Amino acid sequence: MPAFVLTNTSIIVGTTDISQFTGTFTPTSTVAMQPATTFGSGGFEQRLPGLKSFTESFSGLAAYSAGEVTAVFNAAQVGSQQLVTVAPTGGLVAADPVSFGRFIIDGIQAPGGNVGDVASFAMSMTSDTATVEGIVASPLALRTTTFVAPIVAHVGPTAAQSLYVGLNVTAATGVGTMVVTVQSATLVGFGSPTLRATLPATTAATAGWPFFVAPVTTTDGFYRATLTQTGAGNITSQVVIGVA
Amino acid sequence: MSVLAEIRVAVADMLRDSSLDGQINILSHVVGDMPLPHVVIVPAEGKYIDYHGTFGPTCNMTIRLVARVVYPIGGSAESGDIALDGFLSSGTTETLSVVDALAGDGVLPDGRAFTLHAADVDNHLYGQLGTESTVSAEIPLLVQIYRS
Repeated sequence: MPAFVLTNTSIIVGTTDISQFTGTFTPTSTVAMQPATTFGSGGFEQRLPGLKSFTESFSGLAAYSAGEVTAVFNAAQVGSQQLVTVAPTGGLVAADPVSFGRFIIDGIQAPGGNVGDVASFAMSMTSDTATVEGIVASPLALRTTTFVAPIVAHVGPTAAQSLYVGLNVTAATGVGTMVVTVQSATLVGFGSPTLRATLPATTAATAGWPFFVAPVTTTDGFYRATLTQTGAGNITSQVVIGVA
Repeated sequence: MSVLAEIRVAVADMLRDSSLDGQINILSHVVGDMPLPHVVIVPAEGKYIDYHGTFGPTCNMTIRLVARVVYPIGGSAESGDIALDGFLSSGTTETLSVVDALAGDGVLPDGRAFTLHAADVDNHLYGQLGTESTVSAEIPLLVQIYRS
């Protein structure tokens, strides 16, 4: 992909799509550098990479109508856990790149600004587990029946890695449930798929955001999400997968 | 009608709904015959539209307009100056205030809301409009709306 301008970036925090309220996002990945110097280090300090951590910060415009960013994320939400998914190119089609992980909100500044300014919103978050570079398996959309997402290519997890699956349910009404499963296969034709993850059932009347870790080791290169709905539910959701 | 045109019409309607109606001619667009005194809603000089204020297909747009108030200088320059000050004043007892008439959010015909903010006003401008001497001022208007 050539260079591109950030315009359609999709940012979903928990059950809320905050894209249209956000004008800046800053992901940061760090690793603690631990001293490992010995008498054999030849007179130089040596270090080993230690634990990894991640932060995300978002800023933009405050808005207070039902479901809008400041109505959902305010002082009451500080300290809450959220599944954060950021799709820089929009996340509108399967296989779009996405960065996702479970974070804790560690700061919110909203609304802010000087008199005459457009009211601003800012939120910062710190990871409490892995942050995963993955792809969109099932783009954000309203579904009322079972949906079998397209087959997407992705490298499988090695023995030191896991398969991560994130599900953002941004709206849910009606009755019934939705269960998301992820399968993998060796070949693109998906001839003999293997079930890799089954997420907790989503109740149609409740938005939510499961973040699922599957301790899988496989060389399978193709994956597919299936959103199995029972009952008469109207569920708007996005499924993302990745390996870390 | 396009969203930009609808916004200008909606702003003009807000003025018509105020106590200004009848005191001044209210125009949403530049037309051939613009009798004085009038207020006309026009795009701001320089940056008119910021299409990408936020991310996503329904991102926030900022649209910069100007409410241009033009008053004829009749018998004396002083009378025109005083009348224009009336339109530029702001306060609960200022019945001719253009700024106060625009203090509030607007709604488009399809139900979409936009926020409207009047910014600082520069000095009176003295000039000639056609054959008439005029005194005028421009009130910058900041409109915020989400793309449909």
